[in-house]
Amino acid sequence: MDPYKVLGVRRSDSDDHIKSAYRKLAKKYHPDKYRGHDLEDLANEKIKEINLAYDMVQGERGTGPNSTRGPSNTRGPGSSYTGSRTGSKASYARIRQMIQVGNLSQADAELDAMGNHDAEWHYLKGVVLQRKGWYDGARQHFTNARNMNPNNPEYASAWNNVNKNATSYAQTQYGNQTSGDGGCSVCNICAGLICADCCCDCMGGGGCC
Amino acid sequence: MFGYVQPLQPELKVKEQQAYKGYYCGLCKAIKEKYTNTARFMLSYDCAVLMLLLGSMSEEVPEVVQERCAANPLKRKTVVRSEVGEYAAAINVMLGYGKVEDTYVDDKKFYARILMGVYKRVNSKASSEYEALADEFAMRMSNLRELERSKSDNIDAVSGEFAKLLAAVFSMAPFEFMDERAKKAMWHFGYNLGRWIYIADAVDDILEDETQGSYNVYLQREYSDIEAHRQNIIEEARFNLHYSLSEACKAYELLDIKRDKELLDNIMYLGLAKKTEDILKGDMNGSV
Repeated sequence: MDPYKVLGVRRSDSDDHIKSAYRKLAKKYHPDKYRGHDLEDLANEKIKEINLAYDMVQGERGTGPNSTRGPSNTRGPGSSYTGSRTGSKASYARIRQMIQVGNLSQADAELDAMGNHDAEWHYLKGVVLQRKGWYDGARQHFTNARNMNPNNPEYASAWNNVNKNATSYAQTQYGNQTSGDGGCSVCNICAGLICADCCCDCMGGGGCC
Repeated sequence: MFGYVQPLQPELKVKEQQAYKGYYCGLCKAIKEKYTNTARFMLSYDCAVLMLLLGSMSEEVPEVVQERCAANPLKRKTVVRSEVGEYAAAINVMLGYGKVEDTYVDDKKFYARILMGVYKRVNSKASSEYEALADEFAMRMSNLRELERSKSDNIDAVSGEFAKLLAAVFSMAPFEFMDERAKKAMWHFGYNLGRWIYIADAVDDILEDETQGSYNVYLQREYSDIEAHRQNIIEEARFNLHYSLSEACKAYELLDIKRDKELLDNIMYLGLAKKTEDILKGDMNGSV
């Protein structure tokens, strides 16, 4: 492994540049972003590789490893599903267990077989659907769970995360790089036209526009 | 597919633009060489991106050559030749045939019936070469038709079938660089890109489908005024489109991209974002 390649930097780059490249990568593959996700293991491998590369570079340069490291993945997979706070019903605990080991179809079947759809039911159904790639249904069930029990932090956080995940694409990718909301670009066009008009007038023509 | 997956042209550097065109021409040439000249009419932007992505992951550096083309015989064009071209060509043929078949089954268009006849043999050839994938195709398409026949209003279920079709396309590419990790990330990538394409197409076609009485997942609920209904579903569609893209990007960031990264980044972060906005604003209607 070439640690410089992993970090996307050159050997001649400054320590500060490498540190900032490392921080960017660490943020990009942050364990929180992939927690409970199908690709969590791949992201964890990636962050380990990045950490190792950074340690190697630092060792090579004598800047000392581990001094400024960002996130490390110490928490186990799926840890967000373990705390069964409302665990009054044994079946919910069992379903959470199934979700944690990735047995989604069985969890889904058990949920469907239950008659009483309380907040916890909607929450778990949302988790199953989200893992299954049914994001629309997931959001609806998280919304139901949150409306039925607004004080539960687990439901609120699931609802928040599902919405944040969608908006994060619009904000971080497109919105920052181009004039996102259209209003701005209309202004630009107007300003451009006014400028062009002025130019034409200056040239004494009037013929061109 | 539908030609939705494209870079945002004004943000491309000249060399990236060249590479993109090179893949597009390379795919077209691969279709001609492996299949027929007429099959080239099915050429799709989406499959050029499939070829570009696979080419960027390949161990083998793609060969860039200057060649003449029947469409413009006087000018030499940049053409990318890569080991992945043949696979992308087969996918292009299979998806192209599926789309024609769909037009015939849904709308009973006579021209579609003719095209089915024209493309039947090339489709059989592609299918016999990638049998497992062809089986997956057949299953997903039949599930999709069943859902459409039963007038399903479940966005997740309907888009999920097309999503799984693309998940198979991306994850079953038969190349050495497709190890278990790559397969897993590519499955997730294909699923979410496919989900995005299906929903984007549904939103884009909503007015047209309403006029023609064709199936559209967004037309299966009660509504009185179609324009108002379209406005009502926009926020919901925005969530679904952005969520799918966010997930596709998560998978994309885990792929081992060896070249053309700037071009791919443009497609993933700018091209798809722009297309999403255009579709939600209704700018695209009728143009695809």
